[in-house]
Amino acid sequence: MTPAVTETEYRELSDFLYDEAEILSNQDYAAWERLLAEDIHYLVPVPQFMEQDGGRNIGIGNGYFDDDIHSMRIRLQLLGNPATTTSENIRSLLNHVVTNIRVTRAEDNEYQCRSCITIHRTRFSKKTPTIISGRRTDLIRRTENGFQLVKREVKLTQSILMSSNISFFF
Amino acid sequence: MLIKENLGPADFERLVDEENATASRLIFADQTIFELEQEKLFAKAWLYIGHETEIPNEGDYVTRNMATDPVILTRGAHGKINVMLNSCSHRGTLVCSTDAGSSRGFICPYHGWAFGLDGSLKATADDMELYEGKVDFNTLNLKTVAKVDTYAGLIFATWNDSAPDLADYLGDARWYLDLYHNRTPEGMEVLGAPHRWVVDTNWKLGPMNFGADGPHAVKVHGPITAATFQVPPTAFRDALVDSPAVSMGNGHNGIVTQVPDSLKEMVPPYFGFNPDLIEVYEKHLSPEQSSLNRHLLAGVQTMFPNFSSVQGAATFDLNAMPINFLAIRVWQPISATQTEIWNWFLVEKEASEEWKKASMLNGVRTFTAGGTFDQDDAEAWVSINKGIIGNIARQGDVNFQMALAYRDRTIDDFPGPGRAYPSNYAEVTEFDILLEWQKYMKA
Repeated sequence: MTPAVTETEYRELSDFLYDEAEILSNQDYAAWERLLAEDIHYLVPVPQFMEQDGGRNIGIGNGYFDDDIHSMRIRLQLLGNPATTTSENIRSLLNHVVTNIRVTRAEDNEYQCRSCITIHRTRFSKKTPTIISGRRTDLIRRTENGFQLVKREVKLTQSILMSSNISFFF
Repeated sequence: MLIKENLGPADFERLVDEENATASRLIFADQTIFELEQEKLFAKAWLYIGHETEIPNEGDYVTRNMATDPVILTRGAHGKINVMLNSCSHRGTLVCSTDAGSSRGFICPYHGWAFGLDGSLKATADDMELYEGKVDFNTLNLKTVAKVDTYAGLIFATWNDSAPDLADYLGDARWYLDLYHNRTPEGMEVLGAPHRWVVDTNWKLGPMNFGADGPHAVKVHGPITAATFQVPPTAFRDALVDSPAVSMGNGHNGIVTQVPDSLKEMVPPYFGFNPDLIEVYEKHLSPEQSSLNRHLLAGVQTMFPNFSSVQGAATFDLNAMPINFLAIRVWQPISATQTEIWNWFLVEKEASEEWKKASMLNGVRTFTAGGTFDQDDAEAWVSINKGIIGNIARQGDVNFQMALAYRDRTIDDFPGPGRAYPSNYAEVTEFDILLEWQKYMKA
């Protein structure tokens, strides 16, 4: 049995995910970086259509994202400054909608949070919204400075990204 | 919109102006021209399908596209590679609806017609005797390509019976493919499933950018290069301005960006290459090929019409050694204003598991939809589409006139075949892709 969490814990973790979603929609990457643990692993695998009785994986696998704190900091540094990004200068309009939050206790002071993320995005060059959604599994740690994201894996519901780039985060 | 029937060789002669090094914006905007491209170019040229390491064993298959047509790439009996239309010969249903797998054949989900790994018809909906001998089942195999062949693990196919052999089609470009795809005895292997994303722009923007566009690199990629390598933007600019661009013949083009002299003391030879394999590279490639790889900063090239490779060293941890990634991609045409990019990462089979993973990570962090290089390119390409699509805008030209300054300045003592020009800024090789395009469209 997965240890249950208290109502207070559920509320705390949900608030963390809602606050984080707003930060991501605002593209406030200095604030988001403070929510990332030093041992963060941010992974977005490539969804595949496979036979139900198995399928066949090729190679060691390569996600759309597979980032640690070092690569994340470089991404955030570039995207956070209009002088160093073409894709987000001018910025996209973003809305991160978080739903279906479920929380279980992991080890020690860590929680596993599963949630759904739906992102609406428009940009100067594409005024009709691009919608992309995924199922997130997060590992979130309680620290002296509040919660931090330790691991996030996002299972997208698109095998082909209907977007010219992914210059935002899930 | 242009009227298809009235578009003849004289029009295509005008649409790309060789003398003036310009091309009409119509060729990136007009749907009638796009439809003619399907007939005159994509049904005639050799197209990239997949990598041999994606289908290592008999029965392995992946589904792919040849321009707008869905195809299946299979490994059949005795290791034979087959490429066939993914469309049932009965009513046209997709006979395979997965991205990859292993199978003894394909069964149509509608009436149950069954086909072997080579596309041969094995069974119809029920007893084949019900047709009372009135149907020649030999005419009802899945349509297969006219020719399929490989070079350095790369599988190409064409619908064109009278296409030259792949070796002749690639010609001198094989020498440059070797630099990235054929530099060790075992060769390269694919690291995972293809990344696919759709960009609202004409497919030719990609092959041109990778054929390659030097001048955009400082503007678009200067910040990421400066952030990860801690080199002044001037050094990056110097490397591009003073490095060769090569027209390899038959529309195949690329750049081999070299470490600039100003940095040669700081940057060791084979920067980003696998140190365990340097001796192997030197032994497997010719001394002339090695002379280009030894001080390579980045290599980018397009095999006409829509297959590209890019190699570069990258690091995202300033304390870690830069490691090369190699990405290959196909720019699949969807419409005049939409392109689906397919992107794979490759590494030497001989590399350690640790190296393979590190190379993969650098690939996915640089050259894909979310990559720190690619995300910025795509925005510029979409912006071009928006900028040229209007009635007045499409009457103008796209400009490659740096070629006027460089096209007569070939490098005499260049180590490789083809025509080499002394700068990545030359715009000669990018424009050469459109000149090859023009040949197909006029034919």
